[in-house]
Amino acid sequence: MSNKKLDMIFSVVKTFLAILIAMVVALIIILCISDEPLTALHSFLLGPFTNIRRIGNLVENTVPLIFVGLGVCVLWATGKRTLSGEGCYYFGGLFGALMALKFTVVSGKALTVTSLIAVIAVCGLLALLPIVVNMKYGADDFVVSLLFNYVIFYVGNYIFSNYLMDITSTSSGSYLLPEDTFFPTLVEKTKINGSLIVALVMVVLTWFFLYKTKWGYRIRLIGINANYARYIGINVLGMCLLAQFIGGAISGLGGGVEMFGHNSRFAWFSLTNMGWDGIMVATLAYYKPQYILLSALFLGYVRTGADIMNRTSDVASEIVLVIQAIMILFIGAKSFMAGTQQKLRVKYSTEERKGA
Amino acid sequence: MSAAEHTVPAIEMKGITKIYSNGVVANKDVDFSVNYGEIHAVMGENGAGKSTLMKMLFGIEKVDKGQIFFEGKPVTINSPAEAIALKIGMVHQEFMLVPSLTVAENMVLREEPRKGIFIDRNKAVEETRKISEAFHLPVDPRARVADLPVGIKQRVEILKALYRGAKILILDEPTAVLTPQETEELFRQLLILKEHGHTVIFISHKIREIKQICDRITILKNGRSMGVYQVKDISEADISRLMVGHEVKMNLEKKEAHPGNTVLKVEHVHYGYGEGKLKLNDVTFSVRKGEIVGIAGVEGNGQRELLECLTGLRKAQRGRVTISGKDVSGMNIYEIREKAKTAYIPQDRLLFGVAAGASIEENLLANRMNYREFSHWGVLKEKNFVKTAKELIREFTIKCDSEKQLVSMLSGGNIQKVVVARELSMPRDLIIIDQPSRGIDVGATKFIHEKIFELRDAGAAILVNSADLAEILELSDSLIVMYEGEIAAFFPDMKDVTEEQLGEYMLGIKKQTQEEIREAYHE
Repeated sequence: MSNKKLDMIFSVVKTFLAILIAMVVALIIILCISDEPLTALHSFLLGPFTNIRRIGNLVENTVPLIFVGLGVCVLWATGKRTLSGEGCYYFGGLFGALMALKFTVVSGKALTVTSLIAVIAVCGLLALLPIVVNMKYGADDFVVSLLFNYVIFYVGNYIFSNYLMDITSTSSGSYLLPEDTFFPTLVEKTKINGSLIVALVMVVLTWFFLYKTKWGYRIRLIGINANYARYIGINVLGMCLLAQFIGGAISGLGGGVEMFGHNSRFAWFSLTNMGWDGIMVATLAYYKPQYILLSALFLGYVRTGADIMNRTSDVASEIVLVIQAIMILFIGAKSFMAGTQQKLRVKYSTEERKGA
Repeated sequence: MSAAEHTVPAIEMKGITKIYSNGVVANKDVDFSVNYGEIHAVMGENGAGKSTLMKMLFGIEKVDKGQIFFEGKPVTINSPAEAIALKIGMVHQEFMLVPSLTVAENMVLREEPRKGIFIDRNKAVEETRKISEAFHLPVDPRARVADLPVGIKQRVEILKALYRGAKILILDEPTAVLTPQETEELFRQLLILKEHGHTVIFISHKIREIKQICDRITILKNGRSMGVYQVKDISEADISRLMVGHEVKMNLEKKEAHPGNTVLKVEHVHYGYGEGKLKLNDVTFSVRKGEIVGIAGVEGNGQRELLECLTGLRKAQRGRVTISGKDVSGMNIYEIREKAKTAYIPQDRLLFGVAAGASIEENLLANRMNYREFSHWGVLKEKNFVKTAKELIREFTIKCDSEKQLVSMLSGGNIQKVVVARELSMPRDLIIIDQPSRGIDVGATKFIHEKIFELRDAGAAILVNSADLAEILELSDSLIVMYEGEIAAFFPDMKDVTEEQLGEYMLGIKKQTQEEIREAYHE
């Protein structure tokens, strides 16, 4: 067995083992704390599939995770660890709502498209700033982007409370978004709508960009060895900016799509945490866009299940956090199963030599 | 030492296997043993597994299979600290010294003599002096390490190991950074150690040196032991045959050079203001079409900075660099490569030369991504990619499974061939090569040298820097010697230039007159 194959098999085995361990721990906790553990387990594991509406919820939970996951794949491809996805996702939602309510030159689906294009541009630009500060002034990319998210949030919150807040309504939030801008529903009686299609298209586009275009290629080369990229004549600053723009744009698009898909009003009163979820989804997918769909689906499934369990049994949905934490811990842990892999590596290459 | 102790080897390694996480089999069933009071050579091409074997002995790498015996008793060595406890010391290629501390402070690091809560500096100096006298290895205990020449730094490393009680000393390619004079001095010191009953394990791939001072030799090839021999019983040809598998004749046919117009002009280049000492001080020379200009010098005398100033990785702070009449000071790296038609093979392959985590194909074609042939509207043309990569792999005989294989899986020589294939497969006016054969095997070296000659004869201007004197003497049509950021000597032709003569200029003992040095520049 070649070493490359062994590496691949171990990535898969490691991921599934991490998921398994996390699930087992969650089940044990449920067994310990619940008075009716079987009901709880049933709703948690099978709940998402019991009826069409719940499957709809599963999809609804998955779609934004796809966007933010893809966002992180691109944002982190150059090796810059920025958290811009968080701010961009929030601002994408806000700016989408702003456009839908204030940009009255066009209406209907034309407004949806214009708004989303504007969201892409604005959020892409927003994501540039932390990396400009990082590369021009040497401030830490992680810290700057983290702090910058708060700037984005407070600016957004200012826009929201001054221009969008519906003070006449009893439910706090923006004015009602025009219904004719919403994505068409794909499956009746569910919240599965056009945003799913957009998400799937973005998976393909992101993969194509990173692996099939010269810009994606350059961005990945910088991530693998920035010194080499510079030596070979790649414009490192330019490419890092491009990666941030596209990553920010995808994350922002996720927020925007959310407005036209699942919400009647804009009602985010804090950062959404979706940026962090994106990191989790991307980590689970080993930062490869082609695996984002799977990892987002899994996380969406766990969350939907926990939600249903929360409503139908005595176990709180926070159990999800336990699962997430354990999973990421094991996937991120470099030496998890490294010993076994090394033993197999020695075994296989010894056997190969004998055979040859 | 009693006679009984001599019957068991000091160190014995049996059936040692080591496989790195990238799948490279570094050692396979290697047996190795050394006795007290011998100088034992470990020879092999780069990538043969010499360093890995020694790293396992010193506890830096873990043994996957096999057993180490210390004076006949089985031991496991999990860290350098455990190796030191067994009286094993190692001097690495990269010195492990703190440059800002004095020799004495470096010596006692980790086990400092104390006076109350303070370090007893006088005692440290005292002990350093004592050990340096005992082994006839003179050093100034109060000198700052940063101010010392390379040879003395190495001596401090050796003393440091001895101070910690080492009886078995591993030296990893100790002569790679030394001038001929310094090498002689090192050998004299090693013989003194041998007389004291110490064991020296001497890693090298220079046959001549091993013939000169070693008693026995273990030859490694592709991670396996090719046997242990008495040095006096084995010929240089046999060693070479065992190392490479077949005899490699390095004597290449070199035609007469016919220099044409000047391609590269370097005029009064300065670099390193604000760094305490100028790295480049008023460097002026030129390279003409169809000639190979060599740069000789002890490493760290400005060669690297010079080449980086020429290729755009650094900007010269004063002076002018023109390539084919174009001033490159305003150009970025991409423009220097594409508009000034310059190729550059850097000395640090893994840091600059390749992206080891990318595939061979991606590395081979990284510099021609923009060409019509390889991308259209930004979308890569994969068919052409694969086709060209396959051609280059064949032409440059890169040993690999497929063009999709990661570069990190290749041996040093093959990685260098990837760099060479990428840089030298496009028509270029100026080719700059830094350490063409560092750490690669004889076969690959020969291949690269042939390629260099071929391109020179085809009319390229070539500038080569190498710390390997034999190599630079073989390649160059004319030669510059650098010392402390200045050109110390220029030899317009290579007749009568000897290694010893170069050594004197490299060490700063001699310097040519301004008139002689000015010869290096052609209008």
